[in-house]
Parts: sequence; structure tokens; C-alpha cells
Amino acid sequence: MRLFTLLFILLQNLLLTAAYAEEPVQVVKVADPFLEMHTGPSVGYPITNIVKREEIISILKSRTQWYLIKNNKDFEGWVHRSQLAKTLTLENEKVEIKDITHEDYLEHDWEMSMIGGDFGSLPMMTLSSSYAFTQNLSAELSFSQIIGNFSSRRILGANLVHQPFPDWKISPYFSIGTGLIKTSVKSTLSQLKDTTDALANVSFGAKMYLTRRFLLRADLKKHIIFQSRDKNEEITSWQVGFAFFF
Amino acid sequence: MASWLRLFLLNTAGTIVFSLVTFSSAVINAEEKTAPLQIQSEQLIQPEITRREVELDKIDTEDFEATVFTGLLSVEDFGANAVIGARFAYHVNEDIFVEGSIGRSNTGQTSYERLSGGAPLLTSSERELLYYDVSLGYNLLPGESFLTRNTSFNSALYIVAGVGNTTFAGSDKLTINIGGGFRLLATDWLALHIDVRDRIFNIDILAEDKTANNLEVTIGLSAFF
Repeated sequence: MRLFTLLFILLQNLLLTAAYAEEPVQVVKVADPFLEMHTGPSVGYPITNIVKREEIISILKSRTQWYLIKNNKDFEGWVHRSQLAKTLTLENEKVEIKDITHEDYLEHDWEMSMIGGDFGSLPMMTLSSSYAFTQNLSAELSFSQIIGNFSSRRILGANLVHQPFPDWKISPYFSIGTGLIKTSVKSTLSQLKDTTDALANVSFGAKMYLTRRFLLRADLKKHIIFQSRDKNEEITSWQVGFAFFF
Repeated sequence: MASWLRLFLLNTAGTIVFSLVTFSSAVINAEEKTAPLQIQSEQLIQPEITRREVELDKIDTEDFEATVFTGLLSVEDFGANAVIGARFAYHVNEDIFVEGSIGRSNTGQTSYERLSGGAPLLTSSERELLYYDVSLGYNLLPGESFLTRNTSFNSALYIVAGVGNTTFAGSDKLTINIGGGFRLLATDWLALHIDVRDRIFNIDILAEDKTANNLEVTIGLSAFF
């Protein structure tokens, strides 16, 4: 009998810990006077319920600056981060619910950018993705398209980017790179053939931290195309656009 | 007298020094002896608290949205044809989002080709239209849409504008797109989209270069993750 009781207690303990471990949500105590629960993650959605101070809520997920919470009566609603700023743990310790800031930018790994501009007086668009090895050095893969009246060009490039002052709000960068440029001639001008050449480039640019995961980016680049003809082609491009980081 | 005094003073000083040394060592010894006792007593009265950590990093963020869509794309002179595509959006905040789209369509014959009965203007591979673009969107009217008196869904009207490329009729064309849409959220993560876009590019198939306004109407299904 005693053994049975012991086993029962052990089993109950095990089950309890398992249930505890499986719970994916974060449980906090409300410290603000009250929380307004909206039906959706925007100020425009109606408020359908409120949670008072000292009540215990579960945070289920977040979208932009909004959190989906569940109150103790299992009612779900979206709450803005500003109202959750003073939340406490169940042991009355302060929980800081922070937004993504410039500090997170300094610690980021991946960055995506979409920029557009001018390539020797023709419109140019570039999509690129980079990985930061350190705060200063990152490797970038880019795909550009230049659309002309008689031909269009695509560039596949790999660049090494150096940012000497990553903590500046407007942070300059330098890059060197190489790649391939494919020139396709319009099908109506059939006397010319499509060509693929190697190219190298150097660039100078700047990134400016805007908000959350967003950056503004400007880039000035000098391209040297090693053509199959005798003379190399030299073209300067400038582009501006957005970038965001993960 | 002087030697007696000297002896007395020396003796006193010696006693003071000796007593100081012994006293301090006794205190140190006492401290050494009481220290483990204190730790023991602390351990004895310490209750076992199971702390429940709040890990905010573990909260699932759903700022990305992936959409598949289908609909009609009307290409000037080439008729309205079916279009299919996909979109990928990142929601910066509750108002602004950035999205990339890719789509394809097979265009039909121009009225000229049909009426003249002559040689076609384009080969079948040139008739295939492929586009991609990057756009910025703004959620204009977030609110609730009532389907019946008791059934309501979250919804939003949004406007978008962007640039991209269209590959059509054997060449790439810089394309500007402007438009808007309606998003109806079936659940917290699943949404229905209805979009209208104007894809503007220059076309020069019929000798002269002209700006073509190509309207696209699509219906899509998206998931937030």
C-alpha cells in the first residue's frame, strides 16, 4: 500500500512537470491599470474586453507591436505593446517587453535589401541578401536587372562589405565585388547576340536605421565589365531603397 | 627609577600587543567557526521556490505573410487572360507592409492578328508574360466586416505601389504597379485577399512605343507566420 502511494505521488509529479514543460505560452501578471483587448492587431479594431491590474494573462503570439493574449476566463484579444510594458512575472518581478531597436540591428546576422536607381542612364533594380560575420564585415549576394530600350542586362554579384562605424545612425560602408553580367538584346534586333561577361565593382554607400527592422540604403557603384571585345566598359550606378534585417 | 619605569612601560606595551594579537586571532577563529554554521542555518530555512521564468523570445511572432493568388490580367491589345502568382509580405507595423510579388500569364492574340489572319506578331514563348515587383503597402481602413448580423470578421482595405519588371514580347519592361486590396481575416493567421492592380509598362510591338495600362484582378489566400 505504501509503495502504491509512493508510486502514485511519483507519477502525479511526473505528469505535472510534463504539463508544465509543454505549455508554450508565457504567463504574466498585469501591472498597468487595465489592458484593452482588441479583436485584431490594430488600433482600428474594436475593443471587446478589458483586463484589470493583478490579473494573470497568457501571451500567445505577437504581430508587429501587438500581442495576442488570453485572460483567466479564456477570452482572447490583441493588446498593444505599450500597455504590456509594465508587466510582472508571477513572482512580482518586472518583465521588460522591448521593441526591436538599433541595438538589435548591431547584433543581426541576415539582411535583405531592395534598391533601385540608375545604371548609366538606364533604370536598375537590385535585390540582395547579406550575412554579417562581424559588426563590420559582411558578405552579400545580389541580383540586379537593368532595363533598356534595346537590351536588358542581369547581374549576379558577390560582394564583401565593410562598415567601419556600424553604431552610427547613418553608417557608411565600402564594398568590393565581382560577378557576371548577361546582356540580352531585344528579339526584334536579331543581328546582335546575347553575351555574358565578367565584371568587378567597387562601391561606397550608407545605411540609415529607420525603425524596427528597417533601414534606408543608398549605394554608389563603379562597374568594370571585362568584355569579349578589346575595350572594357566602365559604368557608374547609383541606387536607393530599403533594407531589413533578421 | 628610570629603568623601573622603562621596564613597566615595556611590559605594559608587550601585554597590550600580546592581548591584541590573541584577541584578534580569537575573533578570526570565532568567525571561521561560526561561518559554516551561518551557511548551514541559511540552507535550513531557505524554502524551495520553483521559479517560472518569462521568456519573451519564445513568443511566436507572426510578421510575415505568404499569399497564393489567381485571377485575370488584361494586357492591352492582347485580351484578358488567367494569371497565377505568389506574394510574400513583411508587416513593419500595424500600418505599413512591404511585399514582393511574382506572377505569370499567357496572353492571347491581338484583334489585328485575328482579323488579318496573317502571320502572328509574337511566337508562343514571347506570348508568355512573367512579372515580379516589390511594393510598399499601407493599411487604410482596419475594422470589422459583418457578413451577417452575428458573424463578423476582421478586415482591412489597403493601397500598394511599387516597381518591378515584366518579361513579355521578347523583352524586359520596367513596370510600375499601383493598386489596392481588401484583406478578410478568417482566423488569426488565415486571410482572404481581393486585389486590383494597374501594371504600367511601355510596349512597342506595333511599331510605335506606347504606355500600356494593364489591369489585374486577383483573389488570394494568405497565411501569417
